Amino acid sequence: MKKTFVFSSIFLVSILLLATLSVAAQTTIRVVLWDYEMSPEYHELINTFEEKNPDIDVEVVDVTSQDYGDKLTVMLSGGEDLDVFAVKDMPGYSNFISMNHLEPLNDYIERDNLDTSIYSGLMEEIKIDGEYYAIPFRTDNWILFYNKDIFDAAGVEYPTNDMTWPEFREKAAAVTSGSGSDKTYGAFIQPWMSLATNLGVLKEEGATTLANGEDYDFLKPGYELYLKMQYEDESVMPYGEATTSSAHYRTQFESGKVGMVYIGTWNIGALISDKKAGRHDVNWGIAKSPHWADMEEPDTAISIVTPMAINSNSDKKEEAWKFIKFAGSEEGAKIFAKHGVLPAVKTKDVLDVYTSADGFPENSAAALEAKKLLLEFPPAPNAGVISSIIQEEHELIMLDEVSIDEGIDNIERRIDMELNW
Amino acid sequence: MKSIKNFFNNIFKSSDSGAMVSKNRKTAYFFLLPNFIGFFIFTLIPVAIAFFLCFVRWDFSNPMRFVGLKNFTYMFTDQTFLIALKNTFFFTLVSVPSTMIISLGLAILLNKIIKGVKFLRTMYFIPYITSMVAVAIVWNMLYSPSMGPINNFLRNMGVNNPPGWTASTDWSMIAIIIMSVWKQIGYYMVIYLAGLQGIPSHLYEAATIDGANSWQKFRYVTLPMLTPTTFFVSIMLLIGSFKVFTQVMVMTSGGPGRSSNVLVYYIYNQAFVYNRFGYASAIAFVLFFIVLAITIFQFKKEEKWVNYT
Repeated sequence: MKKTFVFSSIFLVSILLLATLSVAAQTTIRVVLWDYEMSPEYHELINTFEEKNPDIDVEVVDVTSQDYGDKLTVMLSGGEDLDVFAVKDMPGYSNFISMNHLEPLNDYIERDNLDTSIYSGLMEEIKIDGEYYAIPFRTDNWILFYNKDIFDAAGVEYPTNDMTWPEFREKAAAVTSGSGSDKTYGAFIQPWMSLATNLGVLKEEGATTLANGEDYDFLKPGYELYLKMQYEDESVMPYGEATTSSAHYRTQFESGKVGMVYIGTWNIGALISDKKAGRHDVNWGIAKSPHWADMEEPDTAISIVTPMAINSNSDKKEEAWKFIKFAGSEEGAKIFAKHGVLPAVKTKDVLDVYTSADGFPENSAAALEAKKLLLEFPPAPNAGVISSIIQEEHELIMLDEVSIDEGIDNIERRIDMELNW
Repeated sequence: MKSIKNFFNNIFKSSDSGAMVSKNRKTAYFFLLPNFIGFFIFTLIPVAIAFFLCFVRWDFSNPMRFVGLKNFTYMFTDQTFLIALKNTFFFTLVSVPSTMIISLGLAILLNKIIKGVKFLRTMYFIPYITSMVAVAIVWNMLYSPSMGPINNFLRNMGVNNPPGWTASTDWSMIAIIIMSVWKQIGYYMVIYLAGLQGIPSHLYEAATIDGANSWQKFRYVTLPMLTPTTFFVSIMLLIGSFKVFTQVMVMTSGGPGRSSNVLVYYIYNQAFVYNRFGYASAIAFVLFFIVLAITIFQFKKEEKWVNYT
């Protein structure tokens, strides 16, 4: 009696063990993304990946884009079980590297013979101390979006691919009309500091970057332009109003009350999917970013690289590596291109898919190209501190609370103090 | 085994207790134990660790570096810290008296039993129980310089250049103060109501017989009898005002520039955005000592002005 009991219980336990082991054969990797719900490209990417890798299951942690930087930092520092995450900006990227959250990838790349040339030199831009830490899966250029109907109504010619910033200001003034809540603004300036700093970076043409830590006088022309547009021409919503009403370029442009927006190509995918979902019916077009008349290479655009990285604390690094490799591959790129997201791999095939996406404005492929690309903010230690200080002074300058010279002096002085901490 | 049991039994004995009292005492301590364990683990130990962190440099991932008093010496040359300190003191100096006066006034007005007084008391109390984040977002929109109702109202009243409120460096702290005072007067009104209702009515009758008018009754009967309540209210308000954070985080992010940067917001920023946990802990301890000093000062002065009947 006792013998049969012992044998049957051993039999039962071994069956249970086998069952759990076979279920556990499927690994789950946790991927952190921003605005996952609103981004069909991620859904398709993950579904395709899971089909090709039936033993890997992807679980997405969705965070809103506004909280992404803070929340991801806290999650990583708190040791949460995350395997892969998208890196939203270069200051965040530098921060994570200095806190040892990113798994170095040189070994994986060598082992798998990954060809980094398909990224047009972008992987070299985000190399730190000779080590790769992430794979780019999308890039974005800053371009000009414009509302065709508003330009038609005002009888003004559409923005061209060869405009200067002063011409941008003229066009904005020309299409501004109305007042109060019926006002149509010539343009909308998102309250981020990059709107202004990009103009300075363009002017420098790569000679100086925002991470230089000492000299920021090159930011002056951008601020002069914006201050005149806000307070003289009144062709853009004043900064104070934009921040207190939490105005955002996406809703502003889609409301049909704004003539132009200078923002990144990530807005293309947003405009396409919002139109499909019936959230707007703006007749929109795109043009190259305006330039400064005295630039040596006027066909320059600001670009940002969005890479995906592996958490150095992950215990599923192989599966995570497979995922980020797929996201940065040509096949992954085609999926992103199909949904209006400009991928990092820009082969001709991929670009064809991108410009023929349903809803992409016609004859606009030229607006995406640029002979020279400059990073908005290069990866650098202390990038987080520098960008916080610039953002604070940016507010004061845009609100006309301090003069541009005073603001730039403050930036230089405060950065100097913080870097010598 | 028996000696351990004896040891525990003896802790609860004291010279004037018999078996019954020490058994009750033991039960009492055991009832307190769960709360104390929670306090110990989640408050006391973190505070001790934070005290240790004041003397290191640490960004949560790289190893800690002991730096002695450097965090404190840097603090007093740190312009942003001095701005945050000034803003916090300004907040306290304006919001505490305003709240006390307005809530006392409301309590006196609503102390009569007239029709609708209960409804009015509820209306004034509701902002206090509403989520601070929701209130902050709505007030931010009210404060919008060109499209908000507040400035529209001011313009209709003939004010030509209404303030920029949360979009102006001069008015951002004042905007936060107004909204904070509005939110908390309900709670302190209720406390003052309780205090008022504890004043025996025969004192007022005696005052009327002596020929006192309303103002004299207020000054010589109401105010002195309310001093215990006022003492409590002032301590709660002072401590709470130094901890102002949520409104700043939601409405202005310390801005524009640094005009509404307050101590707790600066601590949060240094810790979670700049990853300087050592420095943030040092600032937190400076804040702790400031509030402690003010509270001790209050208690020392208590004898002088609080009458307990």
